Amino acid sequence: MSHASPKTVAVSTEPGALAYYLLEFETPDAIRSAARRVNEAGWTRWDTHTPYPIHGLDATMGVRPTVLPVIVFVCGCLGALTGLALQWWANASDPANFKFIPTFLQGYHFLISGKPYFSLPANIPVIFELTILFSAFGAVFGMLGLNFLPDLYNALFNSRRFARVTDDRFFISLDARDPRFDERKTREFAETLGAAVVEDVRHSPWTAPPQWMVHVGVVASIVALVPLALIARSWTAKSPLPRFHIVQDMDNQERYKAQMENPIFADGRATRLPAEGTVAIGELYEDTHYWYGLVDGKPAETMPERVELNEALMERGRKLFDINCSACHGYDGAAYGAIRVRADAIGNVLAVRSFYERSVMEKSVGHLFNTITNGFQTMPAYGHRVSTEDRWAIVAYVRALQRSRSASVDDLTTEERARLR
Amino acid sequence: MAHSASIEASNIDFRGHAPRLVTAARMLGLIGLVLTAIVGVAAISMGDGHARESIWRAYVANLCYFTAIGLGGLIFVLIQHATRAGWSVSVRRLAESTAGALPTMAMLAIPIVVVMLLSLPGIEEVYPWLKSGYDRSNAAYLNKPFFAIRMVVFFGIWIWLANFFVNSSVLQDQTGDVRLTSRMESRCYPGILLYALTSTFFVIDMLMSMNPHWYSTIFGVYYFSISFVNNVSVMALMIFFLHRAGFMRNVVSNEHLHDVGKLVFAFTVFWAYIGFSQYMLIWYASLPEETFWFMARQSGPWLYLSILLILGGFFIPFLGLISRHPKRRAAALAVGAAWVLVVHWFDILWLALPRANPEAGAVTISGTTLVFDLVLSLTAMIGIGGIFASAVLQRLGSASLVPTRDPRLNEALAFHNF
Ligand code: HEC
Repeated sequence: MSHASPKTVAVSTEPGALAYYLLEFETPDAIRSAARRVNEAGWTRWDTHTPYPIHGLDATMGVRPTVLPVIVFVCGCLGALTGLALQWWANASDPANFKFIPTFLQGYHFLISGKPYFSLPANIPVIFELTILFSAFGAVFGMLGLNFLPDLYNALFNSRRFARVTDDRFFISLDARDPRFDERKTREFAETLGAAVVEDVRHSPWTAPPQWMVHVGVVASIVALVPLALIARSWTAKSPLPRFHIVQDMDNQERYKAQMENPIFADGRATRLPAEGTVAIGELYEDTHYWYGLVDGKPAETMPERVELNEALMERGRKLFDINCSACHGYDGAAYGAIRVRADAIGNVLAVRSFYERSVMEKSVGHLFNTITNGFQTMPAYGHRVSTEDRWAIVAYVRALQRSRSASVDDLTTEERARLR
Repeated sequence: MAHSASIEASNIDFRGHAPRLVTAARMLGLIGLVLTAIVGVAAISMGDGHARESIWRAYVANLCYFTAIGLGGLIFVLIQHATRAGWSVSVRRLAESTAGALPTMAMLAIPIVVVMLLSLPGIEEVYPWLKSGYDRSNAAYLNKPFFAIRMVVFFGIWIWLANFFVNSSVLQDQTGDVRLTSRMESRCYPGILLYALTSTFFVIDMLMSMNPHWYSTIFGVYYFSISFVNNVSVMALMIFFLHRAGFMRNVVSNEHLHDVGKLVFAFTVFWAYIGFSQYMLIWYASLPEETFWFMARQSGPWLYLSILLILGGFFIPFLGLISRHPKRRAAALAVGAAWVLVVHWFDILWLALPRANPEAGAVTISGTTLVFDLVLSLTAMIGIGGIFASAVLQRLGSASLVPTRDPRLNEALAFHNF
């Protein structure tokens, strides 16, 4: 069906202005033949209203097939893509590549059952669900949109007669906004259609809602703001209390913790050793040079191959040294850190070693690595809180500090030497 | 009444045409079986060590394929009675005719049981639990006599169900007795239960026991999805050809076609859903005793078949049939239905042909064995398919094409999609 595009006519919606001609019919056959004639007359803004669906009436009215299926299909495809993208983003994207995105929106790698971070079979259920969800949204909201719903006011409800549309009467409404509408001619046309009654439906004046409804509305709106205000407050406020546990499961799980008792096992311990001959992911410590600083069981003389000496590593070493070591060893490594100074002041003994003592200067990198990892005499261990890679960075930095105190003129470039003179 | 008039004006009497077609189909079937034997003997004499195994596998695959169509007809009829469906009355006899071929399928199953009982060479390679040295932890279930008994029980139940529902429906054509409808309705519920159990265990016995220690609890549902989609596809093809030959024109309208099309569409999606569910659980758990079954289907030539199934079994029919237009055009729907039938034939081969070994994963087979596998499957398809088709056509020709005095026939004729 092709209609000439309806031209817009200025139609008054003032109270009392004519909104519809409403035609009442008593039988489905009567409304069907009337509908055919309205359609043939070329009307575009009109509708039929019946208590139950009448097969074929839409065809008689010349209603075009709906575009809803296309909307649903497109929404479904979008849902599938969203499902795929969401899972890629949440689990497989590398946050390092998306630094410009706030942390709480970034994804992170989460290893599940040893599958790749991005693996299609695991993603399909979510893709499937989102396809269904988006299609359903497309269907419901598309239907509402195509029907211009929700519609809070329709003049048709001003007609008392119209109430019987859910009961036993069939109606046709001819809309005053139709370009063909003409108060007199349309009335004449309507009267030829075999309707039992033709009624003018007029716009009603706007009636204000009752006073109590306004009060309830205002109070309800204010109350609705309270949770939002509370959320906003807790986003900014600091509190010593533990956070709310809205969903308990993830925080307080029924599970065994280390050193607990577990009657299932013969030895009664919850903590288990790994099955013999197995290695957890990322825990194969074959490379003793790197992991323990040992070569053939002796402290390594050289940095491990895996550690690449460069500016970035030195910078990282400096940062970690300042954080972890400077409190005792001082920023310069000369053993006058804040704690040492304080200990001296109150008469305690903290025999921190200077890195420039001969004995320390002569130590191998493997030995330094071991000192940081496991501690040395009164010096505490750092292996549990500084990662292997970072410990090597500190070793490199300590070596650089030591070198800075034993430099000779030969270490300078010719230009630098020239400048010295 | 207007509707009865349209039924009279429409040609629903296939009796005159059936005998010729039945003979042709039967001839084709016999030729197919003879060809299978010839190719089989040729393969054996060419010294292909796996030839005997290939014959049995091809035969079992096609037995399962055509039995699936008959079972699909049976469950279709049962569901129509269970839901007191009105729309489907005008196409129900088509499903009754595929269900009516189940007794013939029982005859075709006898050879396999006999081969098994006699332990003919090659069958032990197909069903390793027949071997004497086999780890017999599930021997209480998988043993020759019990297998044979089960087959008798399964086919017995199906023949009994099919006969009851087909005969009652045909009887109603003469008597017009409404009580027949209520009797069918009250029997369909236990019928559905029996169907679910027998169909599940049938395919467990026939196909899943080819890997006796591998199990998938969804296997029976997978077979059900194949049965259902195959049967409605066959119905769509029947409507197309009957319409072309001038039958049922006024009885089966585009509205009915549309609904049959919706079922084809829906059950291709259902099949994909079940197939994926089976795959995902095994993939996720990644237990070697389960994954080898898929490894066998992901390696060698079978990989291409797996990909074909994903594309051809789901994506192509999904996109092809999602719109209402192809579902409302008999020719377009017939193309879709034929496609679905072909894909699911390969689907059954995919279940039956790949050799898998729990220790080694895939078992590589030589190119000649593969060729013989496929050629024998094709000839066995012609053989079993021809005989199956002759049985279906015979049923179609033994009564009117529509249950003329079904109390819901008028509802069906007036049926209209929204
Ligand atoms: C709590 C104070 C404290 C902190 C923090 C500390 N150290 Fe020490 N460190 C000591 C003391 C005390 C000694 C002397 C131990 C001894 O000789 O008994 C020492 C000795 C050393 C030595 C010489 C021992 C040897 O192996 O020959 C090195 C090297 C060293 N520390 C490096 C570090 C580094 C690197 C860090 C940062 C990761 C660090 N320390 C953090 C107190 C500290």
